[in-house]
Amino acid sequence: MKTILASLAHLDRMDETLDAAIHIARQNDGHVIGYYPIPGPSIIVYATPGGDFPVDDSVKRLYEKHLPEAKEKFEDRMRRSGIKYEWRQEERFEPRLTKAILEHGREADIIVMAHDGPGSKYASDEVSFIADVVLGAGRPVLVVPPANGKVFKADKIAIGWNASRESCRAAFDALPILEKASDVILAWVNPEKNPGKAGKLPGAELAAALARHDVSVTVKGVSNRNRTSKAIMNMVTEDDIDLLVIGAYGHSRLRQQILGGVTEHILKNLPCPVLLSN
Amino acid sequence: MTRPIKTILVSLNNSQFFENNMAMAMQIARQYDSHIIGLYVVPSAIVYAAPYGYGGPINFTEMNRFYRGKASGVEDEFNDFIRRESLEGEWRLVNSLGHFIGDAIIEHGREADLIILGDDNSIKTDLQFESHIVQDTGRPVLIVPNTTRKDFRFKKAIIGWDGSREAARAAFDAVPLLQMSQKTEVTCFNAHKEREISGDVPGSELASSLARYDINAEAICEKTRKSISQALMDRAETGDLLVIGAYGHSRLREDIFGGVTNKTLTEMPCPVLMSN
Repeated sequence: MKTILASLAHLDRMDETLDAAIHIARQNDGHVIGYYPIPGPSIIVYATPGGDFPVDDSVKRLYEKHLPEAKEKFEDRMRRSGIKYEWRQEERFEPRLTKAILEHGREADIIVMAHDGPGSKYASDEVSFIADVVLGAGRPVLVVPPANGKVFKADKIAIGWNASRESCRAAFDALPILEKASDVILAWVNPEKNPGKAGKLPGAELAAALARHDVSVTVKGVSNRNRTSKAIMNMVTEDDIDLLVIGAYGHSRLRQQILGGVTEHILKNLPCPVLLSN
Repeated sequence: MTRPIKTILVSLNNSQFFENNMAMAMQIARQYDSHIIGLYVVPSAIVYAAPYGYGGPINFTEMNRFYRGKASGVEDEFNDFIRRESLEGEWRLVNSLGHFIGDAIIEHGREADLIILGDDNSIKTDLQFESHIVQDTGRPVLIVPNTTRKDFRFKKAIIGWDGSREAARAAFDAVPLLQMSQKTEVTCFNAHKEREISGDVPGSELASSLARYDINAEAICEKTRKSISQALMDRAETGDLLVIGAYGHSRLREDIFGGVTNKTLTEMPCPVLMSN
């Protein structure tokens, strides 16, 4: 992972985004792109006698106001950490920033973005925004929750595995991070429910493939009577996991990307930083 | 910094492709010290329904014996090859649950860094096989043409770039192969018509991302009056590896490839790396 695109579109969570980006860049001798998109004005459409459309550019002005401060903060942190960096700001036409992040993110190794997690006023709106990025990027996306005093690290990593195309993507996309981790757990929720795919030793083949990359893996079956997402979240808290790697399931319903149930539930609650891939 | 290919899965069901597939696998394995899995899938019989019951008696044992006999021939050849070239390899013979052997390739391919398939451009009806595997494994698939050329050194690699999700997948999945090639071109045709592309020179950001892996990459943007697929084919004539994203529309399990992807697979001017 040489090129890391840190999306600074979430103005309040810049510190968390940069912490994660710097951590990954340091591991791989990488290059961090601080991407600051300025959204365009949104046009409010309702019939007015004069026939003109009122334009709401309050968000745009907010982003413009924060720009110098954000740039200074980014450059200051990067200079102090001694990592190669690049500041990229761009004025967009559209109010929604999905396309902006996709266009730039597709040409980078990984996209890092922040998310408010549970309790946020805009949580469900944010989840649909992240869904668009994850399902459209074709690159792994690292979603970082509010730090709450914790330092970003990736020593103890759990991979959510069920032998599907998506979980396979996520596991291999995470390889450069897994190689540096001290502890990697390959977790399969209720493998006994899927004997055809799981085989006698669920996850053994992937463990062998990862071992050829010098990643040693602990294979773990997680039993849960309730929901798969609940089981994964319990594991994260019980085992004190630093980073969760999961495949993102999605359906495209006429350009609107909709996430699968487990993925959406985990994103809404976000117990720790999550690396998603599709 | 390298991103090595450590596990290569080679599909060996068609003995016609054995030599080319193994030559390709060997070249990559030499570079990255990889483990080669030779996979042979025994298809199961299909029983056709007919108006008067079923389509006649099928000799299951005879069929099984036929395929196993063929497989053991390939196994000997594979083991000889591995020993002769002193590589690290593993032979896998599996029974397929259905008649479609692709499902077994997908399942075993999920644990590989790269899947190698052979292609015969004389068979134009078999695209569904490849499309299904590319769409469903989530791993990069390298398709080797059945040419008389046995030397697969990558001098020039060509990436078909249009700023899409699939193209991004393919480009980064190809990094280990691009590191083996002397020169890489990020090629974009008629960028002014594409909606999802940014920057003054499309693909220049990708070229600099690749350059950080010590890949000698260059972004090239061209306008053409030919169809994109034709222009890309003409380009690929001069290269040794073509990297493209595989577009697919899944219509109720039947995977249908996009136009450029289809054209590439029917003409196959050089080995093609596909990803989705």
